[in-house]
Amino acid sequence: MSFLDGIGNGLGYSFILIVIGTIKELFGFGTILGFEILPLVQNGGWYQGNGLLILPFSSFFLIGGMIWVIRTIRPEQVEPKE
Amino acid sequence: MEHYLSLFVRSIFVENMALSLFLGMCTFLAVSKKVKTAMGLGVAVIVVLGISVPVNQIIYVNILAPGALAWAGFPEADLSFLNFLTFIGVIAALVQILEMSLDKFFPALYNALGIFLPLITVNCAIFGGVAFAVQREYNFTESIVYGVGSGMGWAIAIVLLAAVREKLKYADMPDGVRGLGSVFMIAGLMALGFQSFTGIQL
Repeated sequence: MSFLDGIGNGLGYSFILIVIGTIKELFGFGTILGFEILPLVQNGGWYQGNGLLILPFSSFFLIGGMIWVIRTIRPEQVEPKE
Repeated sequence: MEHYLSLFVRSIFVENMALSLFLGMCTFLAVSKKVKTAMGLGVAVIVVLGISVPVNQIIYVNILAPGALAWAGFPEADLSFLNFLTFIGVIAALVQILEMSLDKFFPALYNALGIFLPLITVNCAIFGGVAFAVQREYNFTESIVYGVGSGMGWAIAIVLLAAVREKLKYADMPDGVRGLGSVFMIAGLMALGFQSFTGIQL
């Protein structure tokens, strides 16, 4: 059971990591795993890269937004009012 | 003197442990509900960082660094592969000693800190401070200044976050954001503010 618990925690962590990384790379640089998806304006394309998503702390806003979405879908996780 | 002052200011603001390097995030987000507990944890982190960084610096320079054992007759010995093990062990031992002596001599402070004291052992801000000090080859005085300074930076960050959270208790937020979601967004905005210090050369 402890093995499954550890594996599950690790998979959940890496899932969030991959989601955040994908969002930041796609909208910050217009690439996924280095392949060009949205051609940037600098390279003659049409997509203007989001400068905020290149900076490290933008993950805070993404995680905050993800918590909002998850708690809207599953209202039992909403924290009680103090 | 000026060199130490600029190192102190840099470790507080420019290289802030929590908001520029994102170290010690778990306790930073979890133990910032009230300013009082946040201040207690901040002081504990200052004490532990202020002691453990110079102690580990002494151990590294005199025992672990390549060629450091020349005084014992082993000039070609290189124990630097034991770095992480030693640092973690020293930090854990220091926190344990600090906990016991606080319990013995300052029971009021010990009770105020409670569970947060042992939590400091696994706070990555502490290990980050030690590893940075060794990696940047600080001397003994510099490591004292860096340890206290980075501890103060972390303490300032967690107290500021706790103050914002105390005020936000009265905010009428959407249900999903209340609590953890809002904390992440506040921390992000604070990191955005501290981003303005980057690029300052002292």
